[in-house]
Amino acid sequence: MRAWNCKRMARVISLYVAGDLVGPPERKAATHLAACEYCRRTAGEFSKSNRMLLESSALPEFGSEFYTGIRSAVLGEIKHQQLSRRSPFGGRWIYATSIAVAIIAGGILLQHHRTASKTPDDLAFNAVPPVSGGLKAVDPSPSPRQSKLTTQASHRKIAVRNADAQVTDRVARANASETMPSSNKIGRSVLESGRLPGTATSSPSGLGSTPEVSRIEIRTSDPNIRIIWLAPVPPRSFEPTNHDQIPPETGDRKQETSCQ
Amino acid sequence: MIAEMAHIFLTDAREIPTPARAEEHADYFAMLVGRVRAGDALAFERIMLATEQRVVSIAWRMLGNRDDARDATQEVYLRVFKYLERFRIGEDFRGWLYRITINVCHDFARKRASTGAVPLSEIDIDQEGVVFEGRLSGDSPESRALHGQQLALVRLALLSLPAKERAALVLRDLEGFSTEEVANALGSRPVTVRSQVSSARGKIKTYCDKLLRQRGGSR
Repeated sequence: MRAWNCKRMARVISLYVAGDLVGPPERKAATHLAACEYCRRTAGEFSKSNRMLLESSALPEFGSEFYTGIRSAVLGEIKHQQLSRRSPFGGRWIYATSIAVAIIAGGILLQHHRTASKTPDDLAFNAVPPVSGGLKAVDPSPSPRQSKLTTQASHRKIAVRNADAQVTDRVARANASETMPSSNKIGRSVLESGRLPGTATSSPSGLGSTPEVSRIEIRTSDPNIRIIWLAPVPPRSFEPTNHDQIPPETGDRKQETSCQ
Repeated sequence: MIAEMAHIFLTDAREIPTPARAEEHADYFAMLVGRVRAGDALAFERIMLATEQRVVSIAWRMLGNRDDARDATQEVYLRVFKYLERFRIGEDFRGWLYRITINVCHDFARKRASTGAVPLSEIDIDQEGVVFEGRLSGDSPESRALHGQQLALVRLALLSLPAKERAALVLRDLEGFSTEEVANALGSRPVTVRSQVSSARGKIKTYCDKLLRQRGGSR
C-alpha cells in the first residue's frame, strides 16, 4: 500500500478530521498523520475551527411561543388562502370572468363595426331624385376613399340629405352646361345636378352655416365609373339671370367607382 | 382569534399518534400527507409539530438571526402546503422538506444580499444564547467578551460562504446529517457534497486561524 504525501493528505484532511473517510482512505490518512508532524498540526487546527464553528452556531432556546407564533401565522395564512379560493368572486374566477367579458365585448364591437361599415355613408346620392331618367341610384356602400372625406365635405352631404325637396333644375342645367366634359372618353354622359339650400330653417341637424351645394353626377362610358361634382353655390346664384356666375372650379370633385 | 384557532388545532393535532420507531417515519409522513390532501388541517398541524424544530434550526443557522429564521420557517410551511400535491408518496418527505427549507433560505439570503451585508450587531452571539465552553468560565470578563466576538465573527464567516457550501456545511457539520442525506436535501451527488463541505471547512479554518493569530497578538 503506497503512502500518501502531504499534498494528497491536504486534500482530504478536513474529511478525515470530521470522520468522513472510511475504509482504505481512512487508514492511509491515519498512517500519514502518524508520520507527519506538519499534517498532524493542520489536523489539530481543523479540529479547533470545527469546534469554534459548532460553538458559534449552538442553537439558542427559542421558546414555545416562538413556535406557536409560527404555527398560528402559517395556519392563519392557509385559512385565508382557502377562504379566498372558495369565494365565487375571488381568485381565478375574477380573471376568468374578466377575460370572458372582454372577449364578448370585443365580439360585439367587431360586429358593430362591420355593420356600421355596411351602412350608406353618403345618403345624399340616394336622397337626390334623379332629374334625368337614365340615372341609376348610386351604390350606397362606400368605398374606402369615401370614408376619408373632410369635415367640410361631410357638412355638404348633410345639407344635401336634408334638402332634397328644393332641388332646382334650372341651376343644374346651368352647371351641367359649364361642366359637361368634352373628352371622347366619356361617350354617353348624363347630367344630374341640384342646388341645395342649407339654411338654418331647412337643416334639422343645426348646420345653419352650411353653404348651398350644387351636385352634378356624370355617368361615363364605363358604367362603373361616375363623376360626382359637389360645389358650393353663393346665395346670389339662385337668381335666374346670374346662373353663369357660379364659380366653375371651386367645388370638390369626387370620383366614385361603384360595382353594379 | 387566530391564536385560539391554532391552539385548538394544536390540541387536536397532538392526539394523532406518532410513530414509535424511526423506520416508520416514512409511512407516518406519507399517511399525514394523504390526510392533508384529503383536506385534514390537523394532519398538516401534525407535520409542523414533527418537523418545525429542525426547520427553524436550519433556517437560523443559514440566515443568522431569529427574525429571519421565523419568517423563513413560515414561508417554508406555506410552500409545503402549496406544493404538497407535487410530493410523490414514497419519496423521503423530510428530505423534500429540507430541500424547500434550503431553497427558502437561499431566497432570503439573496434578498438580504441585495439590501446589503449582515451587520455584526444582528448576529450578536450573546443575544442568540450561545453557551460558552467550560474552559472559558475561569477566564476574565475581557477574555470572555473577546471570545464572544470571535464566535460572532466565525458566524459571520459562515454566513459569508457561498450559498451551496454554506448549506452543505450547515447540514453536514451543524445538523449532523450524513453525506447522503445532505446530497438528497440539496439535490446533488455525495461526491459533490464532500467537495463542498471540504472547501467550506478549509475557508472556516483559514478564518479561524486568522482570528486566533489576532487574539494571540493582542494578548
